[in-house]
Amino acid sequence: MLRFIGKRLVYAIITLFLIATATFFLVAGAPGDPIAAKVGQMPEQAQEIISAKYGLDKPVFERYLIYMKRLITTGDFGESIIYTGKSANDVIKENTLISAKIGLIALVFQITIGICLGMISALNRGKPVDNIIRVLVVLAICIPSFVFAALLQYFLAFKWKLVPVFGWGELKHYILPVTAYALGGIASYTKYMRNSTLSVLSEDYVITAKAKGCSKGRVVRKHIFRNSLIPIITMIGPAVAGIFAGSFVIEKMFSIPGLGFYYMKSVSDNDYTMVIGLTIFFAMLFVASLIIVDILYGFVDPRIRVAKGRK
Amino acid sequence: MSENQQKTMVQEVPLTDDMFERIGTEGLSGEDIGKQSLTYWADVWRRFRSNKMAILGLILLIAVICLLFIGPTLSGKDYQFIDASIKNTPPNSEYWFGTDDMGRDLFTRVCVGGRVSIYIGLCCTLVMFVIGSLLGALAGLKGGIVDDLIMRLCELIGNLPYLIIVVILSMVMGRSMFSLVFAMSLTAWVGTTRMVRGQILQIKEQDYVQAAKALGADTGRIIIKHLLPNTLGIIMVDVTMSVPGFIFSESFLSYIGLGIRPPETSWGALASAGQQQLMFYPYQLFFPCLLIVITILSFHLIGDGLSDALDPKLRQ
Amino acid sequence: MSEKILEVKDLNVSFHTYAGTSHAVRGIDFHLNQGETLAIVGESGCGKTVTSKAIMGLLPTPQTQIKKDGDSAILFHGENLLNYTEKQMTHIRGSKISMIFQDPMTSLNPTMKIGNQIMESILIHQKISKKEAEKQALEMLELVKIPNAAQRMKQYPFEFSGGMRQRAMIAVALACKPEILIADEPTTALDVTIQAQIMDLIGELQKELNMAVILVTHDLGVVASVADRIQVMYAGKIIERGTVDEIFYHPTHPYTRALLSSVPKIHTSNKETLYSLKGTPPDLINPPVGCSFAPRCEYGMKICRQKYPEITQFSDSQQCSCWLHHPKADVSGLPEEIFKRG
Repeated sequence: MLRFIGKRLVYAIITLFLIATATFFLVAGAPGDPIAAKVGQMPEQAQEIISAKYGLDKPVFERYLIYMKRLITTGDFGESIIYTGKSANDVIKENTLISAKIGLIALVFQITIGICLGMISALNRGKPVDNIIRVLVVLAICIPSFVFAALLQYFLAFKWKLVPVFGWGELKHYILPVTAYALGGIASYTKYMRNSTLSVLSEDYVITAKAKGCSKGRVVRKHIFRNSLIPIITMIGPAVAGIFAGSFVIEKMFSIPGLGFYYMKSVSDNDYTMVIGLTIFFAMLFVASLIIVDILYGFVDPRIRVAKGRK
Repeated sequence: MSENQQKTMVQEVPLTDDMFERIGTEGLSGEDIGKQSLTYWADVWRRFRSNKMAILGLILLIAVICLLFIGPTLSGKDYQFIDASIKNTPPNSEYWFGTDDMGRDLFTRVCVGGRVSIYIGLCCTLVMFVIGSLLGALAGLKGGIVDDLIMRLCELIGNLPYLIIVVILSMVMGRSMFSLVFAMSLTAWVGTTRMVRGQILQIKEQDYVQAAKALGADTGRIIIKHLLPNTLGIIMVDVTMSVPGFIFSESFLSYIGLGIRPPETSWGALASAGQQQLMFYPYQLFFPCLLIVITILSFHLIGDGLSDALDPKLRQ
Repeated sequence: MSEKILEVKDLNVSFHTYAGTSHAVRGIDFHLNQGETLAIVGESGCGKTVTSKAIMGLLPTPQTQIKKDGDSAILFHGENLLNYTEKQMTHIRGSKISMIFQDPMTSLNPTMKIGNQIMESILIHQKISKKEAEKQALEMLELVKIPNAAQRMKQYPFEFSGGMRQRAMIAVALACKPEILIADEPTTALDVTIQAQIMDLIGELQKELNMAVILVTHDLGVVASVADRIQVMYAGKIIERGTVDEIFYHPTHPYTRALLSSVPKIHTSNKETLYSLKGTPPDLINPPVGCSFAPRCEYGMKICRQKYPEITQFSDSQQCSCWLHHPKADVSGLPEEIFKRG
């Protein structure tokens, strides 16, 4: 197991290094002068000072070496070109938690509700409950999250004034974004859980369990549940990793000061140091989540755990 | 019927000698009783046709596509024509979907935007399909170092959040339809490659392919006769399910401002514009969204029907 | 040996499928004596497995229909299991009647340790502590001759080979010392060498625990050494039954004879081709009128395609449903063993 984790870590570091390098050269080579926006009207001398401050007077490769050295030795993701004194590290420190909170809460809802609905649907196959759930799932999968968010805003907040439209900080502000975020996920988890439960239901070991004299409830709890969960766990990996990416649109719609909100803002501002820093940070989060989930997966399915442990 | 009942029934009828004439298996052979056999694809088509939801999806999709192409002619308006005097008109007999905040006819815009969205969806799917199945087939058939390299590449790209790739690429390449298609397909082929490779590896091990090999069939024949027909099904389902995925992504990206930019438009861009007017003119969001939902729904129905038809065992 | 512990009367099972209603089992009667081994033999799809699952009450409920009125009954110690509720059946399954299945690779829960799977059946049916159950489970594993039982208890099914899994499966089934074991093709998925070991094990345990065994198989070779009585099923009906000797030496039904001829014998000379029965069993959605075997029977007569043959009794134990035993039948050129007593 330890060796497996070690191997994954080495891969992850190589991946991150490649991402950081690619991002740096792509963004640094992007069209549009990042300085021009800020210093366009300044006297030439001031421009030079600023250029020197951000190292823009040096060739790209040298800048890359300096940046990477600073990143690795001090964990400095870089300073904003547009907002003097504001560093990527500040944004990360202040706003990651907000994005993570929304994403995680939504994910927990997605998984728990999805698993429950999927099980109910599969165990009642062909009955009205199953049909209703299936129709709702198809609808929910076909509605983009921003459309759903707009509908929620319009009816719950604007028409019926049940919750505030915008704003951030209190519990009530979470309701709309989390609901809008969770919906699509609930639908897909329900769908996958239903399929996976149905396939487990037709497995021989379920009949064995019944033949042993297990009651219906026991068969579901002890034999069906855990086995039908395995394919779902594989989906959770990318989902955890995608928490931050998925929050982009929700943060933008509800003006939530999360990581995605600032990331998008930096992109539209052409704030290139910020974009590089945040991109690398995003990639780190993503890769780390994938590793954690891989390890978690090993704990759930003993076949994988033992097979990997023996390698 | 119990044995007793049968006994009495049998005894009621007189048994004549002639009934005991031996006829053996003549006239009937256990093997002839089978049903008339259909070719695989004819059978797939028969199953697809009998699936009402799939046919509904097909009809919906054809209806939407027809609307997109003849819509502007029907309305007789230009999608870029600005008329400040008719800003934000609600739907009426003149402007079927109303007008937007610049007085442009929303119906015509939805039709033109829809063409862009569907066009992007198809382009991305095509690129994904071509690159994905070529690399997948290469990895699966060649194996060895080629397979290793392709799989490493897949792993690398699979380890990246796709939104970030799209964001960076749109920064680097500028925001255009081309960069959007490029960015979206760059990440999407990985899934197809893995799937095609997996299928090929699996089929290669099947007894019938081994048998064909043992009988001396060459590689080309094995690919055409065995691998292609057996991977085609799963690829077809993947393709049908990908188109709505890309339409979804396009609308999402346009919505957060990374996709299609004015004066061009797409469903996502229209929805984004509509959302800003949501509080006062909800219809401006409603119509583009309605068409997105219908289109995606129809693709899903077709895809589900197709996968059921291709593999009836999966169904229940 | 003579006490009947299980008696099946006029069992009818049908499935509702897309294509129509399939009559998988069509009115069969049989009984099982204490401590004996009854083999149910037939080709795939003849209703053997359905019969055994019907006894266990394991047929999927909405799609399957079991006839419950009239004489129909599955009597276990005189109690009709067909009238039992699902809850009552859970007390029978695993504790009084157990079942093992064809494919040991898929019949064990992949995410549960072997020990826990055995303990589960003990804990469901007996009010004992977990420790005690663990001890019993260990004894069971030793009983089925799994080496390093204590260590094996903590392993998962994927760490077991096919034969070992089937042993573990037997341990699960026998954990509560049931009175009846239904073995549904227990050796079909195994290597030939392992097959004999598993059959021997079942035989040994049967004596040790004094239980009755219903052995469901399509392989007459397996049956010869272990079974006391054999009943041959074809298209959802029992067409012939008798003791092992009767069936092997004096088959009275052409189908039984065909089955026997297709078993390879050590004396068969090289030049002799192994007999193979042509055709496939009939479609049970529209079962043929008359004898279902008639379309494949080389001695078939006109009557065979019109009426189902009555039962001819040859001895206390042997009986057969075939028109060839009617006095008017044309018996010229028939293999003589069919008529040894006819």
